[in-house]
Amino acid sequence: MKLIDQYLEQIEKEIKQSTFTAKTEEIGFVEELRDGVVMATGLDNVSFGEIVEFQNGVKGYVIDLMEDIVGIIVLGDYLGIQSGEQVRALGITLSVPVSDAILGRVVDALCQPLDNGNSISPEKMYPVETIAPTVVFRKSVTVPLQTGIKAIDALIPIGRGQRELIIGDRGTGKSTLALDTIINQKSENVICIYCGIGQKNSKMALVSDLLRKQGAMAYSVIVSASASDPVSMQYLAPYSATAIAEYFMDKGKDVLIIYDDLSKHAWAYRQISLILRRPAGREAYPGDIFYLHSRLLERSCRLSDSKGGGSITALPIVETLEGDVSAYIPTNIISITDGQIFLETDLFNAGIRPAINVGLSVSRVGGNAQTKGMKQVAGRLKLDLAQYREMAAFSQFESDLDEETKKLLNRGAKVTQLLKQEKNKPYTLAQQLVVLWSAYKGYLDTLSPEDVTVFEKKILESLKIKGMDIVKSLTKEKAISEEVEKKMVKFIVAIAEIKK
Amino acid sequence: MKINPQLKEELKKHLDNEIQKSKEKIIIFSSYVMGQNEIDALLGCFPKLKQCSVDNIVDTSIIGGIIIQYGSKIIDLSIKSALHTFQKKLYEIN
Repeated sequence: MKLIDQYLEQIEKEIKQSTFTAKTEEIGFVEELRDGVVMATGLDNVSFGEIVEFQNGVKGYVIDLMEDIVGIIVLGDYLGIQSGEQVRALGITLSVPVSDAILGRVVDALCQPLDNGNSISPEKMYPVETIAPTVVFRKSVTVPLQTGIKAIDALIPIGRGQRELIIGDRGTGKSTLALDTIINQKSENVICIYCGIGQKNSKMALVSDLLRKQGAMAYSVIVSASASDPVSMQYLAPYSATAIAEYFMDKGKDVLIIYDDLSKHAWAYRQISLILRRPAGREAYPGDIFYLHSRLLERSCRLSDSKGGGSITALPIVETLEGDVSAYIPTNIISITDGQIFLETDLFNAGIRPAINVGLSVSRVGGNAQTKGMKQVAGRLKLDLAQYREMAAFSQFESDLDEETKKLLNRGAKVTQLLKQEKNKPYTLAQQLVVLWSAYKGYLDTLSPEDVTVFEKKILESLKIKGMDIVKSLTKEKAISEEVEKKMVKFIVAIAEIKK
Repeated sequence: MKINPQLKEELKKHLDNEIQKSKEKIIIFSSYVMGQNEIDALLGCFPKLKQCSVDNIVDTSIIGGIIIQYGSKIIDLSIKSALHTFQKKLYEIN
């Protein structure tokens, strides 16, 4: 708590600094007020994306320039604005204050705090809308981003600087997947940004609570434009979240950003566009709905070393209806991103969680970024699972199967069982490698499906006690050398014997 | 019904002229009626505005000082706006 004298001193200092000068300002008058959108006359020399201020201090964002009228979206409460009111152009484009102090905070789309803390003292102002880095400033994706989820790290690997879509029906664990990834970045030196768009406030509270409990808030920022916030804020939230990410990327850091979710973002933009009377296209979305998301996701990249070598990895989330990935917005975003993780209701209900459909999920660039050790075990697993899916479909009608097919079915069932994972319990690379290696070598083939889970737990437990040297060398080398493999054989056999 | 294109052209020209004229007009808001010599002295400070016709509107709510408006631009030198910026500064200090 500061003393009143200190406050007065600071006020005095501030006022002494300011000088009174005559400056020309651009003004206009409110002509029309529609839901969250103001049409104003005047403002002859205003530019697109400029910030304007209404008389009650509420800011607006110029989004439409017509012959004699200007369309402005109101960033805040639009109910206090009256027609005929004066609008002042501030001559600045929309930017957000950023500094390292933003870590651990919950902010809105304009970086104003939502957690009762002090306002963020700006080190720099970052523009909300920027052009994505050009080709020469980019580097290919080579460093893996560990999600801590076995199924993803093994089969659909994600690299730093990649954009991987998480897509699925409501209640299939899309957000959980994203949050687990944030939790796993604890020792990975990755800054995480969770951007909630049109989410329930209760959900945002749960998210910040979870991250705080897991100790993930120290390296995370939550940007929230909830369902009750004006649509203008929902529209801007992902762009300002990316601006925060760019601040850290420009410092050479690796950033993970999660947009939860972009279908609601598309709705928000559709609402604004319809109120602005822009021509509506398919499903009443405006013509630039593709550009809306492509310009956002293009900003995620890996910078070349001359630019500091930072990266932004984007995990946008899109909700489908009844698993329909061929709807308008999902297909748009699938084509922009470098792959997708497809979550299915049927799998979720069958108890396979995370409910990833391994067949439909792909990662187009992550393969190059996968660690050597993971490549050693995952290649075979992928093949096993693919064959299993094919066999499982038609073996239902056959009663007597040949030995080879039986073996395949058995292996597939065990691997599927092994890829199940509890939520909020990410695995380290070493843990994943040991567990997946045991399946790859066939140590699980003789177990019943229930025993697979028990066996896995045993492995994890004894890894902590007896397997420290295995963990150490796996984490260091990120590959399974012959020497470590010998140790692992001994280790797994010991566990299997206890079991008997 | 057909409209004579020449008529249309002329109407457009006339409207353009009107807009041009209104742009050249200056409105000075002050808290009291200003004398001609005061206005002349004031415009002396703004060489760009010398050739324009001037309207003086009395608005007591600005407390003191003046606001000059031309086209869609204003130069705000009123006490009201100075107080307003002062108020904003106070809120920003934390």
